[in-house]
Amino acid sequence: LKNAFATGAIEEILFPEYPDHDCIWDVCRAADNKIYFSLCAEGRAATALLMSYDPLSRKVHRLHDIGSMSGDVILPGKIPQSKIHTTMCPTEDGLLYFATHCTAPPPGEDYLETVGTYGNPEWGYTGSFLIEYNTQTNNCRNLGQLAPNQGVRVMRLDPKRQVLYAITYPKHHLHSFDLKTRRWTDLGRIGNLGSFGMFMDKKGRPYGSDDAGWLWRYDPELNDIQSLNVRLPHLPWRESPYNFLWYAVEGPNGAIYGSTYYDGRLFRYDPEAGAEGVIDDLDRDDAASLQDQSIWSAPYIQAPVFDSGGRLWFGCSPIWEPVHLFCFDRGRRIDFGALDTPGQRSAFLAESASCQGGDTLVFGDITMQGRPRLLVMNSREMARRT
Amino acid sequence: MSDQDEFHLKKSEIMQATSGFRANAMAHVIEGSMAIRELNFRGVSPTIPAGECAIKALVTGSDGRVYGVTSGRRAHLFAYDPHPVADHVIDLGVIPDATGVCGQLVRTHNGLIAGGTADGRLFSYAAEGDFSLLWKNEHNKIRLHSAPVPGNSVHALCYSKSARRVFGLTTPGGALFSWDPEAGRFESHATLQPDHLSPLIVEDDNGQLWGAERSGHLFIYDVNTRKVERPDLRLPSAAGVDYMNGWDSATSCHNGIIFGGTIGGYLFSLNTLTRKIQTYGKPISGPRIRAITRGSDGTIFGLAGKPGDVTHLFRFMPSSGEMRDLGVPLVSYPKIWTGYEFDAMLTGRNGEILLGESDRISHLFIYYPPIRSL
Repeated sequence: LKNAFATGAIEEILFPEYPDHDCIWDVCRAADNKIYFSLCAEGRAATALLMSYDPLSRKVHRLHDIGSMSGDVILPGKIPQSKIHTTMCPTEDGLLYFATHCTAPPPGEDYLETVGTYGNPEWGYTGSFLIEYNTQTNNCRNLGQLAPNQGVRVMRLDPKRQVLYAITYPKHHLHSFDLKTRRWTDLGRIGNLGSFGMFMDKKGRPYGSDDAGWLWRYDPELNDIQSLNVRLPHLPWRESPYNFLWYAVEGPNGAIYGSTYYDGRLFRYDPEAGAEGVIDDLDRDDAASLQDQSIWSAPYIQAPVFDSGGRLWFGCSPIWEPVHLFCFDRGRRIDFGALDTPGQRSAFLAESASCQGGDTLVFGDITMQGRPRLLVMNSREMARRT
Repeated sequence: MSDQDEFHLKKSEIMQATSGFRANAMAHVIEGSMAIRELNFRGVSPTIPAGECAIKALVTGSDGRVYGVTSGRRAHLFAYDPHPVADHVIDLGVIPDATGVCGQLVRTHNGLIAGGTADGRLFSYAAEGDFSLLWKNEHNKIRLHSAPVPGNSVHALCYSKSARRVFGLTTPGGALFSWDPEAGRFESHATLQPDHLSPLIVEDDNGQLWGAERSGHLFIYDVNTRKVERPDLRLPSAAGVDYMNGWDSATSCHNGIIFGGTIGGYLFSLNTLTRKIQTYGKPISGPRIRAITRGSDGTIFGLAGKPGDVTHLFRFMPSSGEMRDLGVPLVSYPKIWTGYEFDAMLTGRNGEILLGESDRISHLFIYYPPIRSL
């Protein structure tokens, strides 16, 4: 297929009523089986919006403005609360935790400098707030500032211990927040550029990678960030930085399926195998063909999500080039073509979620044109094409 | 590709590569150049582990090597050999039972490198005879000495050339003690006001030790007369917060002048001969000057910013009075790394400035100031 939309199994939802919002950075399914997502800003100055999509009624609702909810409204010259990055953590009892983030320039400015303005009350980013959203009552509770002057790019929940783990930006510290005691702990710096992806194992230990792709794991029993002798698959010449952990999702067999940044590898990691887990490069046989050596970075995998049949769907594209929809099924990558509609080309699938038992997959798409959209895909229908 | 197909965020994603951004919004040090060394012999020896490598103090040894001490889960003593056949860091070992360390290392007349621990003891290292090459390194043992004041931490250290002894302060007791590096004996000298006692002492050219008690009031201890004097001298401060003030960092004394930084973030010079303090203001808006050193040409370099924020390297030229925030240290080789936390610095043999990073993952940064035209 040249265009995945030709299958007729993908619907796009646009948001023309929010012209200042140019991207979506988080999508998740909560306990009420609705999809929650964030309309964000990166190239323009705006405060992020918490939104929902009901796959049954196929309706979208605007829920909360992050700026007004946190009391940190948009101001001239000041870096705004422009994102909810990949931080949404739903709970079984209908709560949704997320953290606010930055990286849009101040209103009217071209430049964004989070390090230079760090700590500056007039110009700098105020810092990430932790928000508890109740999906049943539509109430938001601001649990306070998570990291002064810093944003949060990724956050995960240990549901058993009721502890959130967050990685801050730009200083790349791992923090924990105990929901019972309401106590934040800075566990220390873990990298410089990476720290995009994080996943949990069944023992409630968060994992991430350093900038060179070496995995680390935080053990709450030992209160120790452990450097593991496990490295993400990479090109032979790859050193630090780059090729850090990008996305990671739990597969139907309990293993983690993840992707790497600059080398675009798909891998499977079993954290329970042995003392440090075992990693398997799923692109081992195709690695050479995936990498055009005239460019520095391979096409990278975006927003992987499993469907009801255990197939892994994701976007894939070289940087700034149109995204193709892929399915990884029985050891093969299948290209479903570009995600183009008239006037809209997909540039990056930021996050995804499955609902309706995995029969519907929802992707948050950052388009070339800066008009974000939700892509709602009937995975059963798509799977018939595999 | 049409305009319609150009990624709308490409402009922001390539921002750091544009001359406009670099000229107007670059937070990193671009005057001179910056390098780093990991705390290892790269590719040969393991790195001092994350969580144990926050560099708290640096000192130059008699052989030109730079010694450093770390804190964290464990404290390590290390040596950086800048010689081109070496150019690597050697982990000299763990300081037994230590997690926190005093913010100064000293070098004695008999070649010892000495430091103090948060649990109150002194340690020393004799560098004589040790070496490190590609296939082998041999080094001596770190010797742990007893505590000058049991139950107290070692709060500050300095080496007195005139007395040929290591002097120190303890906390919470405020004891001024000395240690004879040859005989290994301690001696008690005085008790200072322990509350808000600044964590450093500096010897001037005449054998007097300078430090600061509560509210930034200076004291002098004369190692010859063994008397404490309290001149009417006070460190600079913003109005209304003198009671919180303290002496944060200091250069060594040169021609009677000591440069220093305060907890509040003010740079000053102390003329130990005329007993006058001159203030030069603050290099950045926030508090703390965590480390300071005098460059080979007399330029003062310092690290400003409180822990948890972003530390800025700055320079001050006493000849012109120019103060300049140089920015946040960043390197791109052998890896991209921004240094946010620093607690130590010194001037190397060739005028390079060594910066000790003080984070969970830490490096030795080397700053090469630009060559000035004559």
